[in-house]
Parts: sequence; structure tokens; C-alpha cells
Amino acid sequence: MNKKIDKIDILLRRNTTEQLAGVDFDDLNAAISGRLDKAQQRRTPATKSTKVFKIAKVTAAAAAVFIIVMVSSTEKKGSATVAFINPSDRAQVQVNIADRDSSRGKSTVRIIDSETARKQQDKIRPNWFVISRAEPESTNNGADRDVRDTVCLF
Amino acid sequence: MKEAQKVKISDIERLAEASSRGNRDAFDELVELYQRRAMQVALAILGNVDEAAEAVQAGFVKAYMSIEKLREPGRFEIWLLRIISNTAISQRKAAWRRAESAKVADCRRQEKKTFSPAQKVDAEDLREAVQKAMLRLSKKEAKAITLFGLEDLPQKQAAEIMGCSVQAVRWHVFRARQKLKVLLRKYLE
Repeated sequence: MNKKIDKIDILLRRNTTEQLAGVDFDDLNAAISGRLDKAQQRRTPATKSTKVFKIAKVTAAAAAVFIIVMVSSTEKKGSATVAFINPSDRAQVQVNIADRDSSRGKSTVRIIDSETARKQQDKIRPNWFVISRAEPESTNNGADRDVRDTVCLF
Repeated sequence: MKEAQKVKISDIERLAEASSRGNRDAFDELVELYQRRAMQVALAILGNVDEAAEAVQAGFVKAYMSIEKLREPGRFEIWLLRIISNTAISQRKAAWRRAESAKVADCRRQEKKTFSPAQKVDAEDLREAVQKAMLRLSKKEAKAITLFGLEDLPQKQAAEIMGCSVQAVRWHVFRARQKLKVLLRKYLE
């Protein structure tokens, strides 16, 4: 496909050609070479530091996962207040204390009367709840038993 | 000085391939082959040798840093000219600001020395007018008229560099010509 040359193209070309005539291409080549040398030097440590950064990132992520697992597997101490209002309703509260150390994860359970519960908890109407904890190794009764002792409060 | 137009396409492909594998010597050869072409493009867009040289240097560095991403070494020229033209385009406004401030400083110096302002040479006058006029074009128009102006660059390749159809390039060239004819009418008479 042929290009249709306009007089404006000729003018632009003339301008470029005139300026191009004054360019020292050896100088330009040397300048580009210098810039490439610097870029090359920058790139090598950058690649190394990128690798180091990647390793650090993976290590940090692994550490974070480990910490999260550790924290989530540790029982938190706390208390639970349970309303005990309408025995015909479904179970709504279950507290699990699964830990080898029975002193950890102790919960204070307070049974409150219906009126107080209505005022305090409005629509929460559990009729029973379960507290279970890990069976201590010292009282391990064998494989035929569940690993947890369960206490049901009614 | 060697030039890309006089080298076989297969040789350029071989050099580009070697460069993408990290061969610096091969890339240096490509620089030598394409620096004139790159300068032509940058100069047409920026209208100033110093600014164009800066764009060419920055463009070659960008190309070198990303040559491993070049999937088709046979299309090195298109890929390179795209980088160079984009670099020049992005540098356009800053270049103009620098040129303007340099001009103001120059005028002040001349006033201080109480010299009468020297008559500008035609070529310099034209250079300044073209630089100003090019800045008035949109990025696409500036790119299109520049690439179109490269004598041995087929329209299809210009379209590939710009990432649009040949028709779109022609449209941008048409629009650019119309604007430039008004802005540079003094030099067309």
C-alpha cells in the first residue's frame, strides 16, 4: 500500500533530517551503552534482593500461619452467661473446653431467672447447653470411650 | 555505522533471541542497528535533539530490561519502536516545559548582555514551530504522523506499532495533517 505524501509530511521530514544530521551517533551509542551498564548493574542486585524478598515473604507467611494455628488451638479463658428460659426451644449454646490442662478454659456459668434473662437477652432462649472438655490422660478409660467427657446441664 | 534496513531479518531475529537470553553483546549490536531509526522517531515526536536522545536512551534501557518478555524475536523492530515512541510521547510535555524555561533563561541572559536578539535561522525557527505544533496533537495523532513519516515503514507496521488498524492510522494521520497545516501554514507557503 503506497503512502500518499503530503507537503506537511515533506516539511516534517525536512525538519527531522536537518536535526538528525547534527546527531553524533557514536556519542549516542556510548551514552546508551553507559545507561545499559548501569541498568545491568541495578538488575543483578535487584534480582538477588527480589529472591531474598520472596524468601522473606514465604517465611513470614509460614510464621503467620503457624501463629494463627497456635493461637486458635489455644483455649481462651472466659465466661459464659446462659439464659435458661423455655424448655421447649432448641439448644442454642454449646461451650467446648477442649484442652489437656483442665485448669485452662474454665468458664463461669450463671443460671439466671427468666425475667432477668428476658431483660438482658431479649430473644435468646436456649433450653439446654453442653460443656465438654478433653479427657485428661490420667483418666483415660480406654479406646471404647469417647475422648471427651461430656457434662450436660438441664 | 550499520543500519537495520541493511541487515537480514533473520540476523535481527537471531540477535533479538540471543538478547532475550541475556546476551549483552547481541543487544549492543541491536542498539547500533536501530539507534538511528529510534532517533528518527523520537526526534519527530519531540522535535529536539537532546530530548530525543534522552528518550532513545531511556527507551533502549526499557527494551533491555524487558527483552526476555519479547515472544517473537522476528518482530523486534515493531516492539522496539513501540517502546521508543511511547517513551517519547510520555516525555513530550516535560520536554516542552524544559525547552520553554531554557528559552526564558536564554532571553534573560541576552537582555542582561544588552545584545540585540539575534535573528533566528530558518531551521531553528522551523524546529521550534514543529515542536510546538506537535505538542498540540493528541498522542495518537503525533505517533501516527511520526510513524507515517518514516520512509520505509509500511503502514501495516505503523498500525502494529500503534496497536490499531491501518484505517485508524490513516484517520489519525489525516487529523494530524489538518491541524499541522493550520499551525505551520507559515512554513508551507
